[in-house]
Amino acid sequence: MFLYIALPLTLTVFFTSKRLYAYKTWPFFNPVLLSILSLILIHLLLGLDYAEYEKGTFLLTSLLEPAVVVLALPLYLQLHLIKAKLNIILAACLLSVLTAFICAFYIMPLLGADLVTAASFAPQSVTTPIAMEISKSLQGIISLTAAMVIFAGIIGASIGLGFLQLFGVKDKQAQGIAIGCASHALGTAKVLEVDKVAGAFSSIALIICAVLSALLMPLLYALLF
Amino acid sequence: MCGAFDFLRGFLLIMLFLTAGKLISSYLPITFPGSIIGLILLFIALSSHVVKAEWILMSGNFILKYMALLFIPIGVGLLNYLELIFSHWLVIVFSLFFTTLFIMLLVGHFFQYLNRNEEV
Repeated sequence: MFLYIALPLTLTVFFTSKRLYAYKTWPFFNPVLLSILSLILIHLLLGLDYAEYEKGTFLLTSLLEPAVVVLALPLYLQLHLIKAKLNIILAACLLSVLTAFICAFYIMPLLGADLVTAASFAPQSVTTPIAMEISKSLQGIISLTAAMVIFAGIIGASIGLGFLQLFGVKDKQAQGIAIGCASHALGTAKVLEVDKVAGAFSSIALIICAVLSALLMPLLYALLF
Repeated sequence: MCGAFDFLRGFLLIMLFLTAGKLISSYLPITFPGSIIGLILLFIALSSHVVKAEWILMSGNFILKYMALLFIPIGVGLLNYLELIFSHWLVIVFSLFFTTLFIMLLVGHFFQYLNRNEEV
């Protein structure tokens, strides 16, 4: 029974959250976060089965991969802007990947993270399918990585733009790059809603970071640990 | 009528590129997501005008507009990891906020600095 209600329930919760967000713009009213928390709460309160929910919302999840492919569109439409800046975009993405690696393997252990936990954190800023592959090759916990990726995305989508504005990153293109690097497709989805140009920069950053991470992180890990 | 055709054509094209990406991915010696390969292929096709942007504009924009919605089921899947999250919560929260915001700030300022000629 729940199987058939899962999709309409998700849509209802999402569009209600969106309306709430439009009504009162407080960053944590972010529709995705609010929907996820509400649905988790509904599951816990009613003792519902996630496996059934997962089956019922299969349609949405199966659109994730086509959605990644569609990112080629904003990229192409803003190509004239990106082309001239490919070098500095690459430099920014390289900085991002190295920072993520250093944070995970050199800063988190100071707080008591062991090597396995650190390895699960390292790809947290990368889009889910790639992050899970990286986690696997670093011997991390894949499910923990999946959770981290979503949270990192939500942080970027909910407070990213406001945070950057507050701390002096006013350049729209730089905002796009920063959110694409730190908060992958979830952050990019939000940036695309606000500004098309920033969205294109966010898309390219998410793609380049994903590719660089997939290539560099396993290599660095093999060399250093 | 024309709208439905447009939508369907775009969607089929997108699925075609995804399938091609997945196919290539299955032959690669390393694990690399087919969706990203599909993205790169579609981008090449658009840039070389093999595929016209108008063909996928309608369905593409539709998917992009509701992209955020697609993450919700995976997010609800956190239900399965609640124990793991609670047992590692301190370092998780720190890693999330510190790393995410630190990358954002560092990369944002770095790019803004490199991009400064644009503003003048």
